[in-house]
Amino acid sequence: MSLKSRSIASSAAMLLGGLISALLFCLFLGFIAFYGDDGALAQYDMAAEIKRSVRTDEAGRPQIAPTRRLLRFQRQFPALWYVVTTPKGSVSYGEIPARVAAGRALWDAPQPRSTYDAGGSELRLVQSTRAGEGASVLIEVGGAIYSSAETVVSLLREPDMTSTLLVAVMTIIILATILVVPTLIVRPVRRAAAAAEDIGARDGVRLPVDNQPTELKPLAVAFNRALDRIDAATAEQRRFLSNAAHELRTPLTRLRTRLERVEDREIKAELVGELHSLSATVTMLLQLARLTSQPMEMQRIDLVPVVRDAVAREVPTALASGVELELRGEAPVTVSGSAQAIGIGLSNLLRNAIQHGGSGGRVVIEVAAPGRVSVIDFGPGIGTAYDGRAVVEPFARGKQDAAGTGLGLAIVAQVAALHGAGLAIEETPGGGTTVTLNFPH
Amino acid sequence: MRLLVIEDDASLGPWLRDALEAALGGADLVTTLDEAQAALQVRPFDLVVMDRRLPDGDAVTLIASMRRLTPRPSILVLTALDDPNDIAKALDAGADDYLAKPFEPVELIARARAVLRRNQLDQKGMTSVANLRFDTFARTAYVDDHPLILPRRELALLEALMRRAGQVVLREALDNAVYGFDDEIQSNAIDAHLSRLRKRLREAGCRAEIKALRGIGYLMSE
Repeated sequence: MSLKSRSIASSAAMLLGGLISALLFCLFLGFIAFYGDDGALAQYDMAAEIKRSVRTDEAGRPQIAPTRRLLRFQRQFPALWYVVTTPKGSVSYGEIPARVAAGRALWDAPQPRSTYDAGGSELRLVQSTRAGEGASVLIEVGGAIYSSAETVVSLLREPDMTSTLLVAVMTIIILATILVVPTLIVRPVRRAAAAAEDIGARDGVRLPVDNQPTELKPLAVAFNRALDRIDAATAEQRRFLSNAAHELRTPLTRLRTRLERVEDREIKAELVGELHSLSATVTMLLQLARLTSQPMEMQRIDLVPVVRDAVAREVPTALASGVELELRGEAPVTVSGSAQAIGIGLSNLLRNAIQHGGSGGRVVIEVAAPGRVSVIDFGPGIGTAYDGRAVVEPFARGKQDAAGTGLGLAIVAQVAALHGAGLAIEETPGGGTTVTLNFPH
Repeated sequence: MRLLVIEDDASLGPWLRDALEAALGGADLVTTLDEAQAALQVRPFDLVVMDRRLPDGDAVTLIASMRRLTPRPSILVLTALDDPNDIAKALDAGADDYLAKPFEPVELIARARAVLRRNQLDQKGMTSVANLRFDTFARTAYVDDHPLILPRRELALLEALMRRAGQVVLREALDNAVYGFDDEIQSNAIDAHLSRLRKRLREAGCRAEIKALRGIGYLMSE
């Protein structure tokens, strides 16, 4: 994933987690720098290193084979002294305090004890021993104290209880930050997105602005303003289309009534036919314009009643042309779409089939799961009159076909495109044309 | 029979008045919403044929007030607007039917007759198609004034078809008309009832025709 597309929320969480742990770390360092080491830490390190250096000979007497680190400690702390005692003997290094020297080489039973230097202004731990029951080596040590920096280094090298706990707490805080912060940031965004999704094609619905977080308010306001503009444009377009419909159809109606006065039956029939194809063109142009410019409300719909209504609407036209319509398909076929748009598309398909394939005497409409509608005619077929896709282009029509407007299939193609449906035009086995719409399930 | 034509187009209005008068009976022409309201207050009308776009507003607003009149006039809306939403708005308001402009004069008269027939059935309990007459109160059908004895379900089918004569009646609508909620519907029962009904009508000399549309429904015509 590129840095650009990374989620703001997780970046914020990382940043916050990083800042919190850095802050805790600094506090920890500050704490150490302020209080420093009282000697316990340094002497624990010494003892640990001495323990590593102790060897015992055959008689069980202790011997020191200093590790490199112990040698370094000895150089670093000139006042360092230690006594290693086993039941069989003892070995020492450095200038041993007189009181310790007095008890030198005496093996006493392992027990917890601490020794403090109370001579100065404050209490100073000189030596502290914690020995278990099975201890076989007693180490007495003193004279070493860490500076602040050394304390930190020592703690980093060998983490003790406190620092382990601190690291655990830091890890938990960082994890919690990474998990919680994105949810906190993302939740209002998701809520706004869901509200935007709900707006759909309905007019006048807006994103709620008042309960948005401050950061999202400008976005919601801008979004609503864009919707206002779209709604205004849609309303303007709708007004234009209904004006156009009125202005085109009123004179056509007037003309149709005037044609009633034409005496010559033949001329009248011819003129009425022309007028019909003109008004069909107007209707289809308006339908196409509406389909391409008006938002649609998509819903889960059952195709069967939608198809049945469309077929029922075309029954009078079919009967007038001597064509029988037959609908096959009973079970519900649910798709996502606009019943209005699908109805318009089907009406055009049916009128095409009746007009161009009507010579077959019947047109069969099939609805089948998962989302298929086929209009099957048994006429002469679409044949070679069209070249490939051009058939669905506006104003494309068969070479021998004077009656069609060439808009019907363009409308069907538009309806198919709006639904993401497949449109297939094939030859009916035995002759004729089968047009199939395949709606995505 | 009295008709009211509401149409502001100077050429179409008089033509509509004359055509409807010739086919159905006396018609009056008004050209605005105000005039229409005035005319409706003066006398009852059987049928109102109206354009939607009038100089003083959308005539859809008039439909609701017309529905409250007694006797209620049948309402046929002529519309140049074919936006399905516009059509739905007119029908939801209470129009009986709509006819898209430009229309065939024959179609206009047929639709006007159909809405009148339906209204008559609702208000007077009577309707007729060709030489077939149906009396909803007496629950009896007559062919040339001779009563026709029909079983209950065939009678219900006949009424549903005659109510929407000239239009396709979908199968579900027939199922609903014939069967109650408790009846178990057999898938082909309607077809069986209908073929018996057609046979009986034919034998009685009825000229009204019931056309079967496979998978769609039935259509009764003269």
